[in-house]
Amino acid sequence: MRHPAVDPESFLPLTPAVFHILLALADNERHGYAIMEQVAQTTDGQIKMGPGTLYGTIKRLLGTGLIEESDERPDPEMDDERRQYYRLTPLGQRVMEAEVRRYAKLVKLARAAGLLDCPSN
Amino acid sequence: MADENPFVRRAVRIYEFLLWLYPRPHREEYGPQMVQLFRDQCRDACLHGKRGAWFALWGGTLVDVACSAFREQLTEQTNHMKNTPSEKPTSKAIQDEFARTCEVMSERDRQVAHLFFAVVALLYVLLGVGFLLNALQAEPMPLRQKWLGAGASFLIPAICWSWRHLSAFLPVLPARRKRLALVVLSTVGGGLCTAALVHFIPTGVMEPRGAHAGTLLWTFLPLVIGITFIFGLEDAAYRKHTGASL
Repeated sequence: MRHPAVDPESFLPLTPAVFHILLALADNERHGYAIMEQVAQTTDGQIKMGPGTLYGTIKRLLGTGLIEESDERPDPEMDDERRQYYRLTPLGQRVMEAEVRRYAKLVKLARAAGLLDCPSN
Repeated sequence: MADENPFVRRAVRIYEFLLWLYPRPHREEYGPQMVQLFRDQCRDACLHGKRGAWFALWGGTLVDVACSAFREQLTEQTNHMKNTPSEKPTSKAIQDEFARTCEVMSERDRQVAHLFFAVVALLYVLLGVGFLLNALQAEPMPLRQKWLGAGASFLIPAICWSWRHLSAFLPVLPARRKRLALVVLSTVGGGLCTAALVHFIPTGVMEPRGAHAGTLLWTFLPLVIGITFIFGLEDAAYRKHTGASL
């Protein structure tokens, strides 16, 4: 573990870009374009990240140790070897878990306030 | 790639050119990956075969480049400032900064640079006192004097300021030409702007206000110079600490 002493709560709340990139990497290692596609897909195209935003965010995530570069290729024969893959670090995993727990609490509060039972929702 | 669509090839070349807006370290580290990603996006747009897809791609890309390049430049500058040590006494640092400015201007030894700056500083003080006295007597300043004062007033701040903040935005030129171009541009631009501002105060109708404008200009200037040198100090300290030039 690279950052054992860091409190995951100190990273919260995550920005939408960071959250969706980490979410895209939660189940699989991906390269930049795959991350972008995944984010667009999971948000129904509502969040579209350009190369500048994506790699700017990736740089910051690498700097804070939430993700790391991966040398492995899921399928080397089908893939361009110039692509750089990224994956979550254990710290990134814990930060995502903390953020999702925070969202879950918010959803619970919203449900208690009757906001999720409206017919329009 | 030889079999690549000419539209894609052209778009990628334009995008590669736009990458110059990013700071060099970021460009060197992530540039190839960003280009690769943009190429993939272009291929997608080609597959759609609709003109709208291209417009959407370029619209989104230009906004993305503008926002992210600005953010990266800002981050880069902030990191420079954070890394600046501040243990040097202020008076020594100011002296060094003055000397550095003059060194680059004269490209001679340090003593000549000190002397040059002392003369410039003395001129500044004399001009400032002169303008202040003039304004206190509520006498109108001659127009020529206003022009000269306004033009000169931007010289040194422009030089320091352009090194500190603007040089990163002209990455195409070699360092020395870039600095020279920025010094000339900002000096001429700043001087003309102030001169135009002062010039358009109607001399006949608003004499008292014209005089007040002069006072304002010359009391405001030390502030501008002060702020400029504070940033200049950071440059000097950074260079001394790292040995690297901004």
